[in-house]
Amino acid sequence: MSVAWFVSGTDEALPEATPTAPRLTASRAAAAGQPTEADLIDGCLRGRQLAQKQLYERYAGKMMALCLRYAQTTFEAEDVLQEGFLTVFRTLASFRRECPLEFWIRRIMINAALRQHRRNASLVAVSDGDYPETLSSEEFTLSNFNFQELLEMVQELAPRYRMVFNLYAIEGYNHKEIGELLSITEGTSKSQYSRARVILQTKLERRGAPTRHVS
Amino acid sequence: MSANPIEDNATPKTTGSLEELFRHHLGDEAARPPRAVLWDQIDNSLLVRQNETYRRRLAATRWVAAASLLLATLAGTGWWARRDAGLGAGQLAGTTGTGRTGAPAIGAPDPTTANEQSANYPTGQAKEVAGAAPTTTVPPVAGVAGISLSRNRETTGVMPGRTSEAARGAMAATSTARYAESGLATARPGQGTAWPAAGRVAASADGPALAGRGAGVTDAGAASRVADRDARAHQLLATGAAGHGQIAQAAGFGAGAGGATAAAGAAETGLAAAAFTPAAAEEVSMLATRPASLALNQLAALPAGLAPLPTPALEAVPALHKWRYGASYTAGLFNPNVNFSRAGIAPEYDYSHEPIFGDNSPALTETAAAEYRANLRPGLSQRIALLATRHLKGHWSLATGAEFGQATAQSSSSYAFVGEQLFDLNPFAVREPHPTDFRYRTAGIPIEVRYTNPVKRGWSLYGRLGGVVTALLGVRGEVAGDPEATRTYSITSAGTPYRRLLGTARGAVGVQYRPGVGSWALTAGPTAEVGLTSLNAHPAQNFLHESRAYGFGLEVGVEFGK
Repeated sequence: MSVAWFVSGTDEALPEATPTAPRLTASRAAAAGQPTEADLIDGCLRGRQLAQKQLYERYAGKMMALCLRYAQTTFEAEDVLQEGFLTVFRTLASFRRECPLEFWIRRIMINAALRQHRRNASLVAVSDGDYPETLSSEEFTLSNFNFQELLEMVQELAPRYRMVFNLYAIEGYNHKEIGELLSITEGTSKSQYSRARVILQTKLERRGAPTRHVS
Repeated sequence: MSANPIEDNATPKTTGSLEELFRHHLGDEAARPPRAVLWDQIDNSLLVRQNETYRRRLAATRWVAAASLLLATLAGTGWWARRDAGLGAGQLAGTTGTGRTGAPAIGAPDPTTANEQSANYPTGQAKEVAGAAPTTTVPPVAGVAGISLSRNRETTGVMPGRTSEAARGAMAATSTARYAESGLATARPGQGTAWPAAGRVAASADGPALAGRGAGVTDAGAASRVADRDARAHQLLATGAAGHGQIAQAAGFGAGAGGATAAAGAAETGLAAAAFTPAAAEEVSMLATRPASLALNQLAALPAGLAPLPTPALEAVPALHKWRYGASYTAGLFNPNVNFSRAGIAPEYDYSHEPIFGDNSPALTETAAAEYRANLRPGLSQRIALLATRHLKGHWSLATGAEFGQATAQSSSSYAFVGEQLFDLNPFAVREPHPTDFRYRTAGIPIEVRYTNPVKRGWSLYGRLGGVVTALLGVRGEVAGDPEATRTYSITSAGTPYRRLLGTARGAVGVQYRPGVGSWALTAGPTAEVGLTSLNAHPAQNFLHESRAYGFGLEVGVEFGK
């Protein structure tokens, strides 16, 4: 079955989408009866509402999880998500298709989150709390935690710590890049990451998570 | 079942560092469906943005439509005025020349008659021969002439300013009546039956009054003088002089006396009948067999309702007015063509190296300026101007006034660049293109030399060349999706990267239409302009290599005065 249904402008019933499915290759997507990434992009570029909705549904779940990590509340995360998707649809023509669309959308969402952080930086004052300066390295059993628990821990971090922690520990940026992104020095980034790590580790221990010290 | 698919994994319980723990649960594969209403909000925002785009297009379309409508209206008005003027003259000329005599209308002389007349009369007067002489033989015309005759007894003395002309005309009429009565005009065989009737008509007319009418209703100086001369030198066919003179005057020729002239010429040479076309001759013959119709020419039988209408005085050729006034509208494309690069610029205008801008600010701004310039696209420009034009000499005139304009342009950069030095805050954030709309509002004083024909009726060409001193009243750079980066500069803004005063050279050519009546003209044509200075305040290039704004468009205008 051809999946170029919205490219040609026909607004038929949407194929079932799997928000959490891994990125599909064109052949796999076609075999599954879903529009390919290229079909989605082309449909959006033609202004097809159906294609826009399909693209949104495909990536909204993952992007919402990302936004929740950078935001302090769900409402703030939804604002970031909305702004990010609007940017996606507005600038989709500049997407050169040299990388997966999801990666490109993720960058846009991170950028939107950073903009939101800059806007709110002067408005939010969060105390670091009472935490030790350093902790020894520990290992955690991954299955003892779930998404919501860890998300709450991250959201409770001060914004500057949360940003550095997300960018370094989850997104994989180095401290130099983080310094450029947040307009801080590399040393500051390291310092703030270290502080965020101590806070999170303390919280994990306070929740009684079984850990073991790593020598 | 958890909403997070990671937690549904059946992977064995493994351990990891804190980073691995968070990456495992919150990393790339983590998902949390947003509220369903969020898509509605996004969809609504997309719709609003789309509507905004349509609104902008609609606004541009409206301007273009308005300009087109204005142009069409001006062109239509000009065509109508020309047609109306031409139609009026054509109808009268046709009535005089063709309907009654079959001879060519005014301006299309019968060659035979014209040749005969050319020895003694100007060509324009000789043209009237064919139209004047036979007029007396056609009942309707004769009737009108007769009315004129009867009325002239009353009007001759009523126009003191024209008494002398009327008196001279009276002499001509008197003589013409005699000539007509004696059958002098029956020069052409086959028309003899007609001419006696005409002679009777003429004879029955009150000669002096008739001639007075002929001269009285045509107050053009030249025509009267011709009538005077002709009346004394020749004997006129009075009714022809009166009737034709009245009509020809309406045709803008002031040819009442011209008609007299022509009639006189015809009477003198005996060629009046030769000017008849076969159709006219036939018409006259038919009328000659209907004495009842001809009897209408008797003064006593003329209906009172056929009183002649007062005729306005002919407009003298006016002198050129020194000043003419007009307005114009121009729509076109404008390219600001700004180069904000500061490479090689004087130190006082170079980038600030204050810490607040960041270490990489100059390089960042240079990159953004290059990207801005690469993506710069021209936009719609519109301008209205109010001009006063002073006639200098011949075809040359000098115009000045005031003009107000608005121009737009589009560009985009990954750094939301609008002309200012950028802060080195977040290089990652500016990797997305930021479409930026620029709007420039100006007020200026144009001075230009014009070459045009200030008196020619109908279509003519014009050319203009001049310069404009423009004040840049405001510049707005609106960055899509980034209101914080949007900048608005007024002419008094301290940090504006734009010049406050600009110089522009401008030229235009086009066509001008000046109707046959009225003292106004329409102009339309392409125009082009190029800046003498750059739009940005401190260009890094030398004067010869500056990037200057330019534009071109279509200008329509109207001008009053001649």
